[in-house]
Formats: sequence, structure tokens, C-alpha cells
Amino acid sequence: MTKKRTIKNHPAIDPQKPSLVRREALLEELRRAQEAVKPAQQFQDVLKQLQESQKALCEAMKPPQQLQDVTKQWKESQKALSEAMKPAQQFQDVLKQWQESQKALSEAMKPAQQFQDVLKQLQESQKALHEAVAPSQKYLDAIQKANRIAGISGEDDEV
Amino acid sequence: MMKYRTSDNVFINCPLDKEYANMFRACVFTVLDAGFIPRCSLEVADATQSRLSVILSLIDDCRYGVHDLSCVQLDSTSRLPRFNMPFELGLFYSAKHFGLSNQKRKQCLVLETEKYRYQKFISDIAGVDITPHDNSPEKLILALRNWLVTASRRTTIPPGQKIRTRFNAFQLSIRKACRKNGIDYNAMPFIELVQNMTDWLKINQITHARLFNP
Repeated sequence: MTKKRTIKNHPAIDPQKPSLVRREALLEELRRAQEAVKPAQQFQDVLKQLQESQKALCEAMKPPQQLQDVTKQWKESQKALSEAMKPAQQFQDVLKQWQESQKALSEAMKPAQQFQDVLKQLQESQKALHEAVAPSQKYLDAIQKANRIAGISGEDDEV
Repeated sequence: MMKYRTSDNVFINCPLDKEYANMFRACVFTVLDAGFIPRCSLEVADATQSRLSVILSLIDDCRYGVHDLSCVQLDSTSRLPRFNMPFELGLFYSAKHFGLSNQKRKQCLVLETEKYRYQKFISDIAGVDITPHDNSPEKLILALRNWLVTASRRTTIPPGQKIRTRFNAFQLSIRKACRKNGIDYNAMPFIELVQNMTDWLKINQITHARLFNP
């Protein structure tokens, strides 16, 4: 069983006013509190440094961010280019189709060519025939001329 | 002003000389550490009141009194003896003898350097139990503490050894604080001294076991 005796205030003393001893004790307590807070302060300093380094890191990371932006822009431009190229592609398709159709036309024209060849040959043969017939024509002409002169028309002969 | 009981007040009738300063401080400290209030004529600085009326008022307020008759030698300059302490002891005795029932309960401790020296200059109190302290603050603390225990029957008074240790600790502390703040400890007024002691004791509280459980 313990009991604490009470320290009583002298009636002439105002206990609210701090004495030299109490002031010194308070200062000492304050100093101790500051000492006790020091690790927390150091932690806060470290935390602050960490935050600053994070900030610096973010600043340092900005160029890649810019690069990413450029990449994004490039991709978008690529996409836009693709979109823009679509009509040309269609043109190429049309061109291809036209070429194919040309080819098909050529293929289809091949018989006509042959016909032309035949026609050409025919013409040539006609020509050759004319050439061949030419002397007999001349003979016929001469006969006709002779007939006319003789008063014989060939037309009359037919009547 | 706060309320207080006369049973808490201890009238200190001791020399106020520079040579006795340490003994006086030990006396005041012991009274405070024991849970009492030291009362002394030095606490009043009212020029409208005569010193005698202040002393009478204080004696009236105090159930307990500590009277040190050790400094009755001749004054070095006047070559005359000083009678203040024996006179105030006489007033205290008178209050107890002639006063009302409350005053009849007064008790006092009479201190001297040597046990029987007083008989040579104040033989009227022959037969009174005088406590010698050999001008030693340690002996004074022990004697005063033991007397307060006996007179008040309080069981919460710390052991003498503890009070002595604490007094030395207080002295170191206050001297250091005074040096730091450029204050002359020896010139510190009584009220300021008591306030510093009170605060020091409140800051450095102790608990102690009772010797006997009731």
C-alpha cells in the first residue's frame, strides 16, 4: 500500500506562475521532445528526398513520354496514310482488273486475229488471183475491143 | 489566495545569516518535502506592517514551529548578542500557553548546535528537549523530519535519507539553473526559493511505502 504525500503551495505563491526550476524543466522537456522527434524528422527528410527524387525521375521520364507521343502521332499518321491510300489501292485493283480484262480481251481477240490472218491471206490470194487473172483480162479486153471493132457485142450475143 | 490549514503550517524561526543559508534551505526543503508549508517572516514585505505583527500573525497561523537557537553568539561588528530567535520562541510558547484551544495544540522543535549549550544563555527552558544539529544540514534534515513524523503522526512523510538525497539534487539543479540564467542563488528571496522548491518537488514526485499498514 503506497500513498503519496501532497506538496502544498505556499499561500503567498501563485502556482500559475512558473518558477525558474519549472521553466528549466519545461525547456529540458522541450529539448527531449525535440530529440525524440529527430528520427521522425529524419524520416520526413528522407521521405522528402524520396519525393523529390520521384519528381526528378518523372522529369527525367518526360522525353520517353514525348517519344511515346511522337510514336502515337506516327501511328496515327500511318493510319491516316493507310486511309488515304485506300483509293489508290482501289485504283490499282481497277488497274489490275483492267489489265486482266485487257489480257482477256487479247485472248478473246486471238480468233479474230486468226480471222484477219485468214482475211489477209484471202486478200493476198485475191490479189494473187487478180494478178493471175490480169493477163486473161487483158485478153478479154482485147477480145472485147476486137468485137467492138467487129461490131459484135458481147451483149448482143447474149440476146 | 488559496485555502490552507494551520496544521500544515510550520513556523520557521531560524537565523537568516549568509553563513546559515544552507541550513535554512535544508530546513525549508524538509518542511516542504514532508508535505507541510514553511512560514517565515521573510515572506511578508509589507512596510505598513511591523515585523512583530507579521511574526505574531505567522505564529497564530502555524501549529508547528522550528526554532534554531544556534546563532546567538555576539555579532562581529556590534559585539552584542542577538535575541530574535529566543524571543520568537518565547512568543510561540506564549501562544500555546495563553491561546485558545487551537493554539494549545501547538508543537515546536528547538534546535541548537550542541545539546546543552542553551542552558548557558536561556536557562528558563531547561528541561526542554533540545535537538543538536552540529551545524550539519544532513543532521538538521533528519532531526526535523523525525520530529514532524512524531508531532503530526503523518505516515506519508518520506524517509530522512531520501529527503537528504533529494535536497542535494535540488541544490545541484537550482545552482545550475541560476548559473545558466545569471541569477545569484544566495540572494534569492524566500518566496522565490519556496516556489522553486515546491515546483522541483512536484516535478520530482516520489511514492514511498508506509512502514505500517493501518
